[in-house]
Amino acid sequence: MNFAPAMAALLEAQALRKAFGPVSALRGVDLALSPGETVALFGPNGAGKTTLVRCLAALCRPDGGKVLVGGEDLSGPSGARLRARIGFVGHQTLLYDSMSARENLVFYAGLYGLRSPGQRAMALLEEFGLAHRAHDAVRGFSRGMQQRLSLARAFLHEPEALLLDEPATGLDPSAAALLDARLVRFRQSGGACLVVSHDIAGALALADRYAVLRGGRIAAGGPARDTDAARLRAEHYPPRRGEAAAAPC
Amino acid sequence: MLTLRTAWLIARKDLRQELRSWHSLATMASLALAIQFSFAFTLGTAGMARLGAEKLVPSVLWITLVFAALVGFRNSYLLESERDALSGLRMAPADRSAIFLGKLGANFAAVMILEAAVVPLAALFFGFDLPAVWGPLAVVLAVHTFGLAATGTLLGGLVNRMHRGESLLAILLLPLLVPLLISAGRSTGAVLAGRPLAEVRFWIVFAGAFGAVLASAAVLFFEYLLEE
Amino acid sequence: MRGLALLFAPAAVLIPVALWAVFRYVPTALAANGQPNPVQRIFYFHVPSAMMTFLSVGIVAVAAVGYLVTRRRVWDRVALAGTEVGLLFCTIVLVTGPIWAKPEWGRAWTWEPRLNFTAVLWLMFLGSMLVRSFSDNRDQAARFCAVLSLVSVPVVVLVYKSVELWGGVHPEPKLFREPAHDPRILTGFLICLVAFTALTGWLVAARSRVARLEERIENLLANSDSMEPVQGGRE
Repeated sequence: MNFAPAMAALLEAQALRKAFGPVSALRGVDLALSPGETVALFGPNGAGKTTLVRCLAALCRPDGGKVLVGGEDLSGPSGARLRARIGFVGHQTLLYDSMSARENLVFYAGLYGLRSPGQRAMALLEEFGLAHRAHDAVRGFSRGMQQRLSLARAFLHEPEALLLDEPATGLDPSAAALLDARLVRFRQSGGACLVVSHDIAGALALADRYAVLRGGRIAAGGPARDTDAARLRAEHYPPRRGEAAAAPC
Repeated sequence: MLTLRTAWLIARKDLRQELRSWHSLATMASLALAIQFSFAFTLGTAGMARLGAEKLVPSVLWITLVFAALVGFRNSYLLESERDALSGLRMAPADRSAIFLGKLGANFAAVMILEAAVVPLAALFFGFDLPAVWGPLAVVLAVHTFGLAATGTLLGGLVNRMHRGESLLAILLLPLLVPLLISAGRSTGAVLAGRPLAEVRFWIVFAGAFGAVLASAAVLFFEYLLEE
Repeated sequence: MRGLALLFAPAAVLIPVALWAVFRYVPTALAANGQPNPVQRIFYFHVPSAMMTFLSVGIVAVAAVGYLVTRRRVWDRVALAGTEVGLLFCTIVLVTGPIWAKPEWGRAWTWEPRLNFTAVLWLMFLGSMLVRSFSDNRDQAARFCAVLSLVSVPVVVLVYKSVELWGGVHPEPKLFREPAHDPRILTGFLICLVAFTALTGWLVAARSRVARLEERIENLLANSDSMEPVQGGRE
């Protein structure tokens, strides 16, 4: 199924296929993100969501198909330059435990060639409520604080496309609200966002469109307002053999 | 150039992490000391006297350095593995060979620091006149350390991605290091015997060529090792 | 299976011919003291085995490039087969060498440059096989072994050069000790060489075929609950 929207896509997967040895994770996925659009991606465990997100983030090399950024092939010669336009939050924080919050952000700012890395780092620490712990080693941070720092890292280089794999993990309600507000601002400034989440209701509230990944393919999708959490749960999260139906939240 | 600048940032970060905790360097240095003592105990004072420093030290020194450096090569990648920080490096807008070059720089510096401790100790234990030969010895050490670091950084990257791959590092590293070991043994022995640097010119160039070949191959192929 | 049979036929014919040549056709060599030295016949297996080892290195290197460029599984299977066959012939060289050396030169292991070189090569083949078995999945194994092989190729050249320079004192066994006044020596050697080459070709093909079947089984087992054909990777 192709859910290509009307506008030119900022970040796009075309016929993406990926297998790890004999196990197929993606079996031909088409997905497009347009500027100013937030897409929520759902699917049961093992459907291939993380693989898809990592392929879009240039971390996973697809066996077939292409990932395009602004129409250019991410695996082509200008791939390095294109990567600068993408921000990514994964299951792990991508941080260095032995370094301080500020040092982590300054390092990443340097990798992305940002001017005045120190200032930029402090600005983001302020924004995500971590300025008071700027010089403390990340090792001592709670899970929620580490996740906030990881989010700060993703926004650091002002990406045009954001890929968030379960970004609210470990966040307390106020931090989660902060993230939602930041994502709304991101969308308003023209950023494209893909959010993978098990919180169906929450993600639908934020998103313009949704897509469901099952068995390595896009099984369903459309405008977010056309569906609701209960319907999606019933249709796409079947109980496993020998288990009662469990809410995936 | 963006690749070099990125490599420099990574090297600096790696060294900062190493020097801050001293874990890796301390482990390397302790292992080096233990290996030197093991050689001494198995040879005995009579054995050591009979062989003499020129024959003994090249062998002991380089075996010690290779096995101690192994620890460092492994730790170099462990730095990134805790929170999947390697993915963060891979997303940076620079050629992925910058990751190799950065780690090569950090590993080279770390092994040179290790040598600064190990070589004087070797002089103490096995009896050679360090002040008399330190200049040529430093050159020989530096050139060969470059080759060692290049090979170790490349293979460290390979085993890092494998489940429980660290046990493979030694068996993969040693056959590839054979040319370097032969060269190191010859040139270190000559230099310790007081021969001038010009006499070991061939081995210096050989070791330099080895390092250049390994580093070039690594830059070419490193991307494939980082793939998922 | 027909293709495999076609490759098997020459080997099946030539190996018995080679055995006849080595045990019946070639003259018995004389040891240094003038007595006949039948152990010298092992030379006719030792040297072709060494050449097959180098052929295997070539096969693996080409397959490595093929895989990295095309990512087709067939190249990896050939690389796997080439590595195992290379390890096999390398082992034969390292075993037959000392057997030959003991009566001829008095010592089993002579630390002779070519022997050292073969020993290092053996360790490299072994390393490659260990990487395969430690890898998470077959695609990772393919990539890592390909990189390792290609990095090893220039190093092998440097190993060859450096062990030669390291060598020094020991007598180098010549390939043809007696100047070829008996043409049967050369003929016998060439028969063996051709027979071993045919054998190598068949072994690599057969092992590749087995690897293909192993992959099919792996695919079936991994996807037994989904009934969908495997799409990932390229066949």
